[in-house]
Amino acid sequence: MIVVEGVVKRFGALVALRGMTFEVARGEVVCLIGPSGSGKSTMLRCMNFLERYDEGRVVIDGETIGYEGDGSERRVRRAVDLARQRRRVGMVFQSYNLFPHQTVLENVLEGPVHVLGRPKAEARAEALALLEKIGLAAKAGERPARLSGGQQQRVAIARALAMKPEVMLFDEVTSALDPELVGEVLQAIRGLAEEGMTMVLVTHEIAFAREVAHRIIFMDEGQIVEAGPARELVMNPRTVRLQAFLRRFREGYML
Amino acid sequence: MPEIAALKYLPVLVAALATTAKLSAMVVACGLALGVTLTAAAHLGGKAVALAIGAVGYVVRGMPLLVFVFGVYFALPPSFTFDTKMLAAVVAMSVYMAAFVFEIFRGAIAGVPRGLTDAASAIGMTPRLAFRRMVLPVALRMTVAPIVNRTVMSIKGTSLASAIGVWELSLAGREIIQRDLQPFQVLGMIALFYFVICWAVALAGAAVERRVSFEH
Repeated sequence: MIVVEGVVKRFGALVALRGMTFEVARGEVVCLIGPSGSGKSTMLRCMNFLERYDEGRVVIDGETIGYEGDGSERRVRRAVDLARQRRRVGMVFQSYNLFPHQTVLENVLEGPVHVLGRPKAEARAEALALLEKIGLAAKAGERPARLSGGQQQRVAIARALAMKPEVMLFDEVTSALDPELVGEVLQAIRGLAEEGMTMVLVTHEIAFAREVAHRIIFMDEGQIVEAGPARELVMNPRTVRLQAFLRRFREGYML
Repeated sequence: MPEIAALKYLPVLVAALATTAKLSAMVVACGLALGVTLTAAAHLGGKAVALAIGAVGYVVRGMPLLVFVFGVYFALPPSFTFDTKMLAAVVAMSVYMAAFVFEIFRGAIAGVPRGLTDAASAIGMTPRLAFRRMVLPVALRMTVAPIVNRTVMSIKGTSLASAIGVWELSLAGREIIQRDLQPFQVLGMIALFYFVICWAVALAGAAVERRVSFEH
C-alpha cells in the first residue's frame, strides 16, 4: 500500500535521509525506531510531504506523494493537489498541535466540514461518536488549553481519524507526555491497530512497538540498519548498532 | 478646604478635550485601517510590495513622532480655507500608528507556530484555507494586547499636535499656564483627562483579551 523507494532528504549540507526503502502493507503497523537525529521524524514527514524529499519517491496506493511527472520532468504538485493527497493520510504530532482557538469538537469537525465540505449535522454526529470512543465526549465544548496532554493527544488522534484516512502517521506522540498519561494514548493507538488501520509510528516506546507493531525498522544516520518482525527484532537484534541501542534503552529504564 | 483655582478653567479644558478626543478617534481609526490594509497588501502583493512596505515602516517607526508631524505639516501646501494643521496631525499620526500596527500584525502572523500550519496541512488544508481558518484567527488574538498598547500611545501622542498649533488639550493647558501660572493644578487636570481616556481603552482591551483567550 505504501512504497518508499530510495528517499533522500537534504537540509543544506546535512543529509538527513540517505536512500530509505521500505514497504507497508494494508493493515500493517510499522514502527520506526532509532536514536535522535537518525531521521525517523523526517522520514515520517516526507510520507505526507510536510517535508519535501529530494530524491526517490513515496507512493501511496499507486500515487506518488508530492511530485508529478518523472525523471527530469518531475515537479512538485500544486497546493490543491498536495492538500488532496494529504486528506488520505492522517498525522498526529509530538506537540499535539490542536487548533487553540477552537473547542475540542470544532477541532474534530474542522477537517470534515471545512476541508471535505460535508454537512455539519452529519459530521457532528460522527465527531461526537469519535470523541465518545476516545472517552472525551464530556470535553467536547472545552478549549484544548484546558485539557491534559494525554487528553489533547487523544483529541488530535480523533481529529485525524475524522478525515477517514487510509493511513495514520504518528510522530513520537507520547514523547511530550507525563509518564502517567502515556498509557491512555497508547491504548487509543492499540485500539486502531486492532481495527486494522495501516499505521507508521515513530516511537521511543520500544515495549509498545514490540507488542503492537508488526514490523520494526531501526534507523541510524538516515539509513535503515535493521528491519524485521517486531518481536524478533527486539529479542534478537542482529546488528551491533541495534544491540547497542537496545542496551542503552534498557539501561535507561532500569535507572 | 483649599480652593482649586484651576477649576474655573474646566469649561475651556473640556472644549479642548473634545478636540483631543476627535483627533484620537480619527488617528486610531485611520491608523488601524491603514495598518490592516498594509498588512493585507504586503501579504497579497508579492515580495516586492512586502519589502517596500517593510522598509518604509522601518524608517517611519525609527523617527520621533514630533519630527514626523513637523515633516508632514511642512510638506502639505498651505491653505486659507482648510485646517491644514489638523489634517497634518491626523495624517502624520495615522501613518505613524499604521507603521506600528503593520509590524504588530506581521510579527503575530510570523509568530504563529509551525505546528499549527503543519496540523492544518495534515488534514488536507491548502495554504490559503489554513491561513484564513487557522493562522489569521490565532494571530489576531495575539495582537490584542499590543494593539491596545499602541492605541494608548497614539492617544497620548496626540498632545504633540500642539507643536503645530492644533488647539487640543495640551495646547489649551499651556495657554492657561502662561496666563495664570498655576502649572501643577492645570497639568494635573490635563493628566487626569488623558489618564481616564487611556484607562478606559485599557479596560476595554482587557475585556476583549479575556474574551478571545484560548482558555475561555
